[in-house]
Amino acid sequence: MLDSTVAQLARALAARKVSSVELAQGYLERIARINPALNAFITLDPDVSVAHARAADARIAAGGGGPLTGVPIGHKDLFLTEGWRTTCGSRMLANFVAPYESHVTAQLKAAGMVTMGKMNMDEYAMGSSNETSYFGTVKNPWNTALVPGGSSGGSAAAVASRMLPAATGTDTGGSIRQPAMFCGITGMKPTYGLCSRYGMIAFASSLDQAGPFAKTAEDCALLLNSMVGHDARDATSLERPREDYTRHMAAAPADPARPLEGIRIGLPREYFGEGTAPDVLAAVEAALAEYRKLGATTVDISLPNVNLSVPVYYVIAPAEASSNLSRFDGVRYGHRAAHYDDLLDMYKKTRAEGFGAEVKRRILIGTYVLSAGYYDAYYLKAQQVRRLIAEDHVRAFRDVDVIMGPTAPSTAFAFGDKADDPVQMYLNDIFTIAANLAGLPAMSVPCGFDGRGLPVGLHLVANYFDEARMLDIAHRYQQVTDWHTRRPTGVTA
Amino acid sequence: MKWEVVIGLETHAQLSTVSKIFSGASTAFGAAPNTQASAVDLALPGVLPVPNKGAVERAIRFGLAVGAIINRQSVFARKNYFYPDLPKGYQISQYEIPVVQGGTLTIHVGQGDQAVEKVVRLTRAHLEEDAGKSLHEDYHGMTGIDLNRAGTPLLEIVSEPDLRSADEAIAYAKQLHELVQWHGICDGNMQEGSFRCDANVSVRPAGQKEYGTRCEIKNLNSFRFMEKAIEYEVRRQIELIEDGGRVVQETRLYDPDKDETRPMRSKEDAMDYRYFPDPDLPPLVIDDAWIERVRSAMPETQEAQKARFMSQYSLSAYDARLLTASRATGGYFEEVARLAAAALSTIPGSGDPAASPLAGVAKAASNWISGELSAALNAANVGIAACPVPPAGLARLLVLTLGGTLSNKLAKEVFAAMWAGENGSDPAAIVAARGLQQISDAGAIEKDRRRSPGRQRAAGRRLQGRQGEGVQLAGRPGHEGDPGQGQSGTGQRVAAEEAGRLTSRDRVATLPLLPLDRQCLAHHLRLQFAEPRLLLLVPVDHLQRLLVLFLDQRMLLRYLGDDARQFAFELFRNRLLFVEQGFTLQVDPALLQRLDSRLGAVDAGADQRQVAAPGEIDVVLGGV
Amino acid sequence: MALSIEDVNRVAHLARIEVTPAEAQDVLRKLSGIFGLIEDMRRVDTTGIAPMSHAADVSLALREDVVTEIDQRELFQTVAPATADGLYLVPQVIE
Repeated sequence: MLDSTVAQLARALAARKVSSVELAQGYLERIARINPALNAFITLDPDVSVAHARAADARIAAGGGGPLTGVPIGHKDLFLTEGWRTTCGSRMLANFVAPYESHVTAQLKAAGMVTMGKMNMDEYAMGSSNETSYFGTVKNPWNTALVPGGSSGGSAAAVASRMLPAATGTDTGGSIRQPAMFCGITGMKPTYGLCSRYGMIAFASSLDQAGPFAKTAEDCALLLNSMVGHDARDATSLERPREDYTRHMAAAPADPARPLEGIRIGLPREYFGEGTAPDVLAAVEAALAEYRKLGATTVDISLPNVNLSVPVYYVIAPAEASSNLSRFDGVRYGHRAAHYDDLLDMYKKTRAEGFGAEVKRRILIGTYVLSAGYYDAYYLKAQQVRRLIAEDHVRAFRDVDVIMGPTAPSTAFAFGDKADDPVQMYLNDIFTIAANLAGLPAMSVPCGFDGRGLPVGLHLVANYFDEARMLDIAHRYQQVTDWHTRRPTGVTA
Repeated sequence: MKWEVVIGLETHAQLSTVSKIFSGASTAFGAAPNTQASAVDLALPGVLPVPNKGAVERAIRFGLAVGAIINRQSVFARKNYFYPDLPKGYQISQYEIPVVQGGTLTIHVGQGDQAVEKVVRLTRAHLEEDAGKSLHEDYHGMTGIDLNRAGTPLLEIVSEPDLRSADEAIAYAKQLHELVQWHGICDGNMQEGSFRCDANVSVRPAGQKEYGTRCEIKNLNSFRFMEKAIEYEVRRQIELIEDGGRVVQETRLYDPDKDETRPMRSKEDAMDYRYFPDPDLPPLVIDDAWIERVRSAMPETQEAQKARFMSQYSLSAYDARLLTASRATGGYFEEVARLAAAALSTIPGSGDPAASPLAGVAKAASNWISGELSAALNAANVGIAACPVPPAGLARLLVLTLGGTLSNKLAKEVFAAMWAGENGSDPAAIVAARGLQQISDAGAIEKDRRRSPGRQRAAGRRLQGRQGEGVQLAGRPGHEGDPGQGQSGTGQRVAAEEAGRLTSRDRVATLPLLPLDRQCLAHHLRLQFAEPRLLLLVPVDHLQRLLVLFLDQRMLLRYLGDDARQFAFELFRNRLLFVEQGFTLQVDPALLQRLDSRLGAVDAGADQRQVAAPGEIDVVLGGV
Repeated sequence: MALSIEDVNRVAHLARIEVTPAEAQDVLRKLSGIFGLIEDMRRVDTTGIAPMSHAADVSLALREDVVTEIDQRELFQTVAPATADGLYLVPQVIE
């Protein structure tokens, strides 16, 4: 039962085959057993989780349950959750309890989901390996010597190891999709603006977007149904009619053997070149072959500016972050240095102690690119190239329905492998960043394994607001493959 | 060497919204520390700014008021710096593309009628949020931070360096101060910091094209300080240069206690604000429809109202300018003028528009508002909107003085009583309670007589005593209010003729009055009185005062226009005799006697209607 | 554009982060690598391209001017490092 998908759990709960309390207790027991090896959670509060579950059971019994009522979930520890500590993986907020709740988690709570805990992450979501968390690294469930990816590493590892059926994450440059690939699960980010950023601790405001982790695209669609929605507290939140992201999946195709007849898949030549591990490419090619069998056609396309995604991202994201993180100054909340000479010294010591090395590095980069004399050369330039990259995609989506490629150039790497070389670390995000720069929906779907038995992810990018179709395209693939059902071998439930 | 002073002002006007610019917290002044600081204002993690439509609307209003360009798309940017009263570590402001660009402000430099106009160019006006406050009282060696003010909406208005003296700078600041209040953009309360100026001051040798190095002076929270600070700074810079030194570009703080400016220590660091577009806030789009909605809801501009006051009320430019200092003042004035004139305009014979009673009333109202009222408001430090004497009250006081019940001096006494709320601030009641009337109240005399003959005599003596021999209502020594003294001999002669004709008739009492307006008197004579018994000839403006006096005494004015006879009846039935201090009025003692006897008849006759039946008494009233 | 140790120190001061000389050297080395990556971007011709500050070309949604917040000082200050009389306390500020 605990290995079930969200959709299966929801059906079981609705049919009273299992209670939410039973599920919560079952997962808590599993967490107690597995988490010490993985460190996927920063905060657990079993009593609160069970209380949530009890409330969900009451709601189901009263006939007021929805499609997610009673299903457990974990939240990346940058979603502010009333009554739960929210650390953002940082010493700065090690003891911060917000008196308010993020829009995304509030909506999931309102849907009846049971909060199981707060998930470990790279500090302030800055990282691709989960090595920067103040609360320790998260281990990859496929091989605990490897990183789970980042920054939403705890969420990905917990779902992959079946400690949770679903989790939330945030994606600024690939922070959902890359760990989804590294951990062999499905993760997606919607179009920028669909999920409110209210109550999400900001990394790079113009790039951050929340999204779900689950085993299947169908689960992601179910979760997304409750995560999106206009929120007046976020000026970038979009006002759009409600839609059911599972609607295409539910429709019966004309030819059941070829459900994706007419779908055109764009293959950017920039994503299939050098620098990507051959076995990663092989897995992706195999997935594309599967897609052709499902009726889709593949088209070679070009995104000429996409190879500049990494430099553009590493100007824009740190620039925004350097400003977003200025509020952590030890005055109103969070860490304050114990010893200092004066106000300036208090600021400097507080921030030197409260932030980890990678966060400080990015603040310094961001401060530099915005500083007098460098703004035009770096920040403005990056914003212009960002538009070129976005326009490449707009052009591409005139001819294709979805863009596919590998999620990351290589599978999970070992701890410390790239920790001392930020450039190598940053290049790991090379395929995922463009979707954030352009604000497009994107996801990673398990599509096989590399030579070492590590999961490979197929990366899908769709046009603005085309999440439902993108999820359906992923879903049809998962109907004929079983990569997403494979369980990690690094830890045993 | 001759030096030219160059000044540009940056003004922070706190917008008069009820909530903050990016949060729903209250902007009310004076709350306990941090009780009006919401999660957004405190920059708690994960909360986001959502701009206030009311703040944007006020910025549009300002742009329209100064004839500026309203940018259809403007951008909120972050200005990054660390300071404990700046919770986010950045201030949300507008940098490259402000909401308002350009525009001009016409200022008046110089005093009174000597003031000359000057057009000052505006660079821009942009929306931004205020910071909190640092309280430097010692908290065990710490500073306290109150973030109630953090996030209060500001419009920063930047002028071009067009100002050439401290006087011009003050004139500009005052004009801007009036304008933002006029349009309801800002409450203008300088004590509460709602309107703050920084001055960029430099000097250059007269004739030099290039600007000198400027210093920015902060903390100019009153016009007086601004003047002193600029004057000090100009002196400092000139002395510095003349002593062979160089002005260093820096931010200086004005210290009112020492009357000097000094460099700000917190600004010693070369600031690198790292402005960039706020990623939390997409561009602010203002469409034409919105601008038109704002435009159509805007009040008459100050300049337009001033021009209108000059033409409609025949006021001087100087008076009109004082009265249009604020919308509230303009509104107050118009209300006073309207109420007073409404009463007076119903007088028959005032139909000549060129000789509208409005002008006289307006000038009097203007004098009161710019004089006594304004002084009282200043002394009490209250705005005219909160004036304890409402327009209706001042209008009634005005007509008492115009009507001659009160001298200007006594009127001031009554005004003070009204201000203090005496007798429900009702001027007539105050006059009655204090026995201030200059007129002989025949009713009072009669009542006195009814009570006791002795008292009646006393009342009569009082009247006589006050008025001298007979009804000799002489002006007080040194009084300059004699409106008749300067009038032409022709008018006097005509009036005498008319009066002579009237006096030739039986039972007509004549009061050899001051010159009357011939046209008006003739008009009234055409009213065809049937056998007038008593004729009260009242000079022009006194007539108005008389009428309003009746109004004030709750007389029914509806008689006035339609039936002069009826009015006369009412006039006499109420035993009012009209006199005015301020001009000399010689009355035949016989008149008083006759009047007395008539009153005696009233007293004895019981039925007033019988005694004072139409036809018995006629009143001819002079017109304007 | 080669980064210097002075750049690192200047930027660290602007960002109010204390860095030891050793840290500054390490940061300089790593930042230089990152800026090498960024140099690629600077070679692109972007003449006439409007900068893109937001992921979606939307206009700003505004809120009505109404007070919606209540006093939560007590709650908010439970997480504050130092307060007195409702004020946040910081080391002495000199203007």
